[in-house]
Amino acid sequence: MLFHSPIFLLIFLPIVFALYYYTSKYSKSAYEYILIVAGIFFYAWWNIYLSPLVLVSIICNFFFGNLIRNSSEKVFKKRILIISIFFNILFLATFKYADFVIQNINYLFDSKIQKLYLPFPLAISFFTFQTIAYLVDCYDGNIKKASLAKYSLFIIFFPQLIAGPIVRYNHMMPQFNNEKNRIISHKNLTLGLILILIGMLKKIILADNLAILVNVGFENYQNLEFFGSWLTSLCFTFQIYFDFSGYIDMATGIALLFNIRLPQNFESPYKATSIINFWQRWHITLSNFLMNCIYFPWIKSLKKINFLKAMLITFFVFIIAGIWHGPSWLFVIFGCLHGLGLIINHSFRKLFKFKINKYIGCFLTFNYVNLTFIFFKSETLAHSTSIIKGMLGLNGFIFPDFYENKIYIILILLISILITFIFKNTNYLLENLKIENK
Amino acid sequence: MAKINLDQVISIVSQTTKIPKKKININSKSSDFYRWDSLAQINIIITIEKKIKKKINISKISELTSIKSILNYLK
Repeated sequence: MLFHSPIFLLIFLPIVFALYYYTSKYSKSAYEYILIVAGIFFYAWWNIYLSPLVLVSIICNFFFGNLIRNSSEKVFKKRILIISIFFNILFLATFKYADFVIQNINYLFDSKIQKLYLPFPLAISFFTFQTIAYLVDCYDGNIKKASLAKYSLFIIFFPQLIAGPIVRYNHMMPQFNNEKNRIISHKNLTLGLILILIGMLKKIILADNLAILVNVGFENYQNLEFFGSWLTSLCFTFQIYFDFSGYIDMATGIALLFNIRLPQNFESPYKATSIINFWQRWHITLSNFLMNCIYFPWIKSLKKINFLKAMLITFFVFIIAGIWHGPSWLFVIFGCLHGLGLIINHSFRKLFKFKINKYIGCFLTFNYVNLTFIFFKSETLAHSTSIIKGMLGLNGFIFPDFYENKIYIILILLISILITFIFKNTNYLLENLKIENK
Repeated sequence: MAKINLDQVISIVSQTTKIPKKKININSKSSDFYRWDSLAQINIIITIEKKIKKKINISKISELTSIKSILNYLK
C-alpha cells in the first residue's frame, strides 16, 4: 500500500484518522492501539506472512531494552547491549545479505552452496537501525520507562515504517503522550495535506517522469555517448532525490495529520557546498544514526585519537552506510566513494586555511554526488564504467536517437534544477507558513 | 563535576576548531561554522570531558552542538 495509492488515500488513511480522533474522546490509550493495529495492517497488506517477523523483532527488542534499562550492573548492561545489537544485525543479515554472502563464497572458493532465496521483509533496514538506536538509548539511560504498547507504536507507526525517517524514541514519545495531540489541529491538518500534495507531485510528476529517461539510458548504456550519459546520470540524481524526499514529505504530512512531527530528513542537499555539508543535508536521520551509534562510540573507544584514525573510521562507517542500502558491491563502491570524498574534504580543511567559493563548492559537490549515484543505480560495474566513459566523451558526441521528445527532456531537467537549486525546501514551508489554528 | 564557564567553553571551541575567539558567542552553533564539523565536535567533547573530569554520554555528543547546549548540559 503506497502512500499515493487510492486504497491508502481514500480508504486506509481516512479510517485511521477518524478512529484516532474519535476514540481519543473516550479513552486515553485507545490511540496507541489504533495506530499499532493500523501499522500491522499497513505492513501486512504488503505481505501478511512476513508481518510476524516484525512482531517477533518488536517483542525480542522490548525484552532486551527492559533488561538493559533495569540492570544496575554496568558490565551486564554492556553485554546485553552487544548481544541485542548482534541479534538485530544477524536478523537483518539473514534476510537481506545471506544470498549475497553465499554468492561471494561460491565465487571465491568455487563452491556450489545453494542460495536460500529468503523473502526480504519490507523496511527491515529502517526498523533495524531504529531498534539499535533505541537499545543504545536504553543503555545510555536516556529512556527511563517503556511499555510494550508504546515501544510497538514507536517501531510500527505507519507513516515512517517503510522508508523512514529513522526516529528516536525520545523524539516520538513525548508527542504521542501529549493529550493535546489527540485533538484535531487545523494548522497541522492543512500543513499535512499540503506536504502530502507536494510529496505526491515530487513523486508522480517529477520522479516517475525522470525514471522513464533514466531507464531508457540504463537499458542502452552501451550506446550512450557524452550527452546521453550526462542526461542519464543527471536524471537519476534528480529522480532519487524527488522520489525519496517526496516519500518523506508524504510521510511527514501523514504524521502531521495525527499531530506528530517527524524529524527533518532533507535540507536541500544539492545546495551542499562540500561532501561534509552534503551528509548534513541528505538523509539526515541516517547520518545522525551513523554518527551516534557507530562513529562517535568507535572514535571514543580509542585511547588516542588522531586525524588518520578518525579518517579511517569515517571510511569504514561509509562502507557500512553503502552496504546498508542493499546487498551489492556497487553499494559498497558508493559508500567507499562517499567515505573517500569526506576524507578529501576533511584533509583539505586541515591543510588549507581558505574556504572554496560556495558556488564552486556546490558545483564540485553536486558533480561528485552525481558520479557516485551512477554506481548506486547500476546493476553491474560494466553499466557504471560505460556511463562514466560516455561522460568523459570516450564514446563520442552524437546525441542518441532513442530520446524522442527533446523539448520534454529540456523542460523536465530545467524544472528539476529550478526546484533543487533555487526553491526553498518543504521544511522551510513547515516552519514559515502562517496558518491560523482555529 | 568541575565547573566550566562561558569563556572556557568558547576557548575550547576556538582552540579545537581554529575559529577566532571573537567570532564565537553564546548564540553560536556548529552550523554557523564550516570548521565545526563532526571531527571537531568529538575533539570539543573530549577536551570538555578532561576539563570537567567526567565522561559525557555518547548519545549527547550530537546534541551538544551549540555554546548554549554545552552550557546547559554542564549546569
